[in-house]
Amino acid sequence: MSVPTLTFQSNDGVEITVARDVAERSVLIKNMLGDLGDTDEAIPIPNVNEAVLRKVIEWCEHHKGDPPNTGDDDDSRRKTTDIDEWDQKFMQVDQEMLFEIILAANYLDIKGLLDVGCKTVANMIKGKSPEEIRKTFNIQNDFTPEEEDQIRRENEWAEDR
Amino acid sequence: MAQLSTLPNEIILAIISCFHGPTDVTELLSLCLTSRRLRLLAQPILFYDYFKYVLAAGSDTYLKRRCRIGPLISFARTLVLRPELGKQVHRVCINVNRILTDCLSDWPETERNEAVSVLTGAIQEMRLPRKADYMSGIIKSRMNPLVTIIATLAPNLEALDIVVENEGLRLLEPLYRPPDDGSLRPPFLSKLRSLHIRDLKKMQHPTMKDVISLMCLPKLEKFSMAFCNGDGLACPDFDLPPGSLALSELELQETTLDATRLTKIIRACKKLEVFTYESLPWLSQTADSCQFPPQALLPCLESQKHNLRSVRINLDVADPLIIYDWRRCPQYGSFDAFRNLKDLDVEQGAMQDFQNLPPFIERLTILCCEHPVYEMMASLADCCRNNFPFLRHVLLKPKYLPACGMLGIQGEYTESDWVVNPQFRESYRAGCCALEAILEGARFSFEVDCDGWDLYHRGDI
Repeated sequence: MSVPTLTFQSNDGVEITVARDVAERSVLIKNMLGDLGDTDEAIPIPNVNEAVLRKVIEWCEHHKGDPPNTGDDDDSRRKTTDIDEWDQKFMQVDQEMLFEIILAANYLDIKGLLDVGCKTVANMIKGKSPEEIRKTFNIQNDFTPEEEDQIRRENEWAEDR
Repeated sequence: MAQLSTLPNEIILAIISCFHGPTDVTELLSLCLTSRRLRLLAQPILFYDYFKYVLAAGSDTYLKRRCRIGPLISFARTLVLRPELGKQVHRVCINVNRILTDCLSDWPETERNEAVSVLTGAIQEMRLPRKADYMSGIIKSRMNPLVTIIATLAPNLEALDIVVENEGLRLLEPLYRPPDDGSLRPPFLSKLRSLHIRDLKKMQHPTMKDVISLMCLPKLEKFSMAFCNGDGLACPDFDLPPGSLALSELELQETTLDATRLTKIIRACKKLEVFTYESLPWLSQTADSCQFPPQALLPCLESQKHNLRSVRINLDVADPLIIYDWRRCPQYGSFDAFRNLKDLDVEQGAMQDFQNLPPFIERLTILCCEHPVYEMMASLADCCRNNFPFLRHVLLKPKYLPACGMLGIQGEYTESDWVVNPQFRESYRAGCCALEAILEGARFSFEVDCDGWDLYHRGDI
């Protein structure tokens, strides 16, 4: 018996066929199929281009056997260091692709991928000074010197002085 | 083009939420100073916890804050000036209990005056009795007025961990007692779910009798106390109505209580599920200590026998200095009536007949093992052949490392002998081997909480 499949259409018009169990790593897709039933038509995925969609599908294929997320750990904060080796390699992409993957994971509701993306960005922040964070992520310093002083005083309890 | 700054707040928040605990404070501080938007998202996370430890600048070392009142003053000051951050505070852990190195009097004058002005101004605004006492307490860098200010400004505080010493519970009363001004304001800790108190004066300060009021906080699920000393002048009688406490978890560490007081506490709990009692070590107890004997434990727990899921008990009654032959150790008796008890931690010697285990036990930990365990473990394995079908894990915790006593190795050794002493290593290996042989085929998994056991298992001994 052939494996049931679905077809996604990226926002740049490319159709990609994917096994249904892989596609159902996305809670959005799973719920949609539950509500509307099976479909032979291509499912449009707005805001996600072909390159990003292929990366997302690659991740879902690798993780298709993972136990489903029960949602029990929604409140527990994520730990930065524990990204498995395959995921680390998978996330070795340029910043634009990294953030596009995170946005797609958020839209498609793929919690595992969103977690890995967030942890990857968190690891890029780890150990950096404010200036280094700005440089890494192209962020503008919009504080006045007075504001910086005020924030330092507000937070000084947390530092070793 | 997707960048960090173009992500929606919910995703940036998910990224920043990867940082938590004292290890990640540096990152949160950096994020607060990166841009206005990141500060808005990171600062509430920074204020979620006030930690007992702080990471030393430029190193991986943690400093205990027990000599430091400055961070607490700064924290309180910020909450006064930024009340919206007070709403983010959920856990506060304070361990100021040593001679202070950073009293307000040691601060630069401008900073000192500003902090005093902010804090005393806040006290004026707060509905507190005896405001002058709070103000003078601030000026003298006392801990309790600061704890009260913080708790007053942190309406969502869920967990509080404090060390009390010379101040006792003085000036903390508004946290646990309704005001006597006729208003309906509840105590400031009305939402608290977890409380730990470490009383270094061992219940001698007269205000410690109020510990009962703290236990009665309406939402309190876990109450934990160290040095609850029944021989202390201020130890209350715990005359509480049965079922009046909301606690499901009670932890008494380094405690000395008589059976009457403990029975009253246990009976006062509506549904106690987790109970821990560790007495002061035998050597620290006085000859006329009120500490209850092992045979009094189960009558004390009688009222909760259907509720308890987990019990950890250690009265230190089998120390080789007290009892040469551990088989003569006084016994706790039978847990047969404790039908819901799944986890039991009990010291070696105080339960010799394993038929006395709770019938549906799943995990057993034998604490303070210092006498040879071979006969005991053979007896346990034998007993479990036809009983205790749910027992799946047994853990042995040695009293002293390197666990010579429990393996029957004569002589005095240290942990370095695992590496440098071939004769000791051979005896150790033989001991571990014998233990494994005894438990071969046992229905439960088995482990010794000791690096030596791990070395043996890795083949390094």
